[in-house]
Amino acid sequence: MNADVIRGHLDGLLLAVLEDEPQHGYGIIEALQRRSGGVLDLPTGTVYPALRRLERAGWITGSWSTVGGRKRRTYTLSRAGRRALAEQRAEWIRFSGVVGSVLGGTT
Amino acid sequence: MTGDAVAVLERSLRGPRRARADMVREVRDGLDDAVEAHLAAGLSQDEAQRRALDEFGDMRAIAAELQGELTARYGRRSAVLLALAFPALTLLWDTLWLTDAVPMRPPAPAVALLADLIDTMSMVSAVCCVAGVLVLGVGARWGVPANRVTQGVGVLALCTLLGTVGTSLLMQFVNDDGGAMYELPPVLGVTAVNTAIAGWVIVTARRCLVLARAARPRDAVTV
Repeated sequence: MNADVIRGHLDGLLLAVLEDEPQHGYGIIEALQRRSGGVLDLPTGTVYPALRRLERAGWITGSWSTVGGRKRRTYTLSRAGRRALAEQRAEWIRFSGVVGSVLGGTT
Repeated sequence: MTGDAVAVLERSLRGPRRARADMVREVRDGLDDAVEAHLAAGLSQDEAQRRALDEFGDMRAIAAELQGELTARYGRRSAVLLALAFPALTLLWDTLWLTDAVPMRPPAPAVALLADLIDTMSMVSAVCCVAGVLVLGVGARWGVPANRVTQGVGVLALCTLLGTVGTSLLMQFVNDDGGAMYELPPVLGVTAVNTAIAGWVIVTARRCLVLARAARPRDAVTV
């Protein structure tokens, strides 16, 4: 899958992974790969600056906590982040519907 | 292997020490987790480290993106402090006149006008700094270039300082009674504090410009 396309939707993907429970960086990367069935092949390093940017935007909060006996920087989805995720989902449904109509073919 | 890569990252980042250490530690932890996962899958130590680094991507590209975040963080913190510093510079002087700590006759109209100009410059700068704080925060939602905003904060700080100091000097020139008051302890005290704040503004503004240049976007790395 085109990595540039993935990058354009990375914010929404990261917010979605954090929807169920707080996660640390590598946990988020594993969840992305697991939930995409291994199709999403993004350089794992890109997640770290993206998480810092989402934190600056107020969509997630980060803090150091002990996970599995080790200190990890853990991220939690904020209320604003949940609203942003809902908006991105709605936008994706609209977008994919429009593209699907134009491209045609069976779905 | 991963240790060397993290060391490269650490050397290439510029910004607040604690934030820098925080980011480097997070990346190091992530690489360690990746190596552990590959070891658990049966790879050797060398293979696991190599695989973790391959999956991580171009360290220089990641460093450039992290630098953007460090610059934004410093710009935001600086904007908060500058929004307080500039009004503080003028309020200290206003306190002297309002509390009659310095016996003075009513100022000439030209002096009063210049004093108002200094107050206006300080307040406008403070408002712009508050806007900078907001843009460097929620602006991340819309991809606002943080390096440009941080650069703007630095330029604004220097221009405001030049404007207020220049206008103050002009005030002294116009106010023929101004020289004598500097012998008074309250005035000396306020001058000393203002000089210290001005020095801090210069250092902070310069750092904003340096970090903004360090975070200039590079060519996108294709994956």
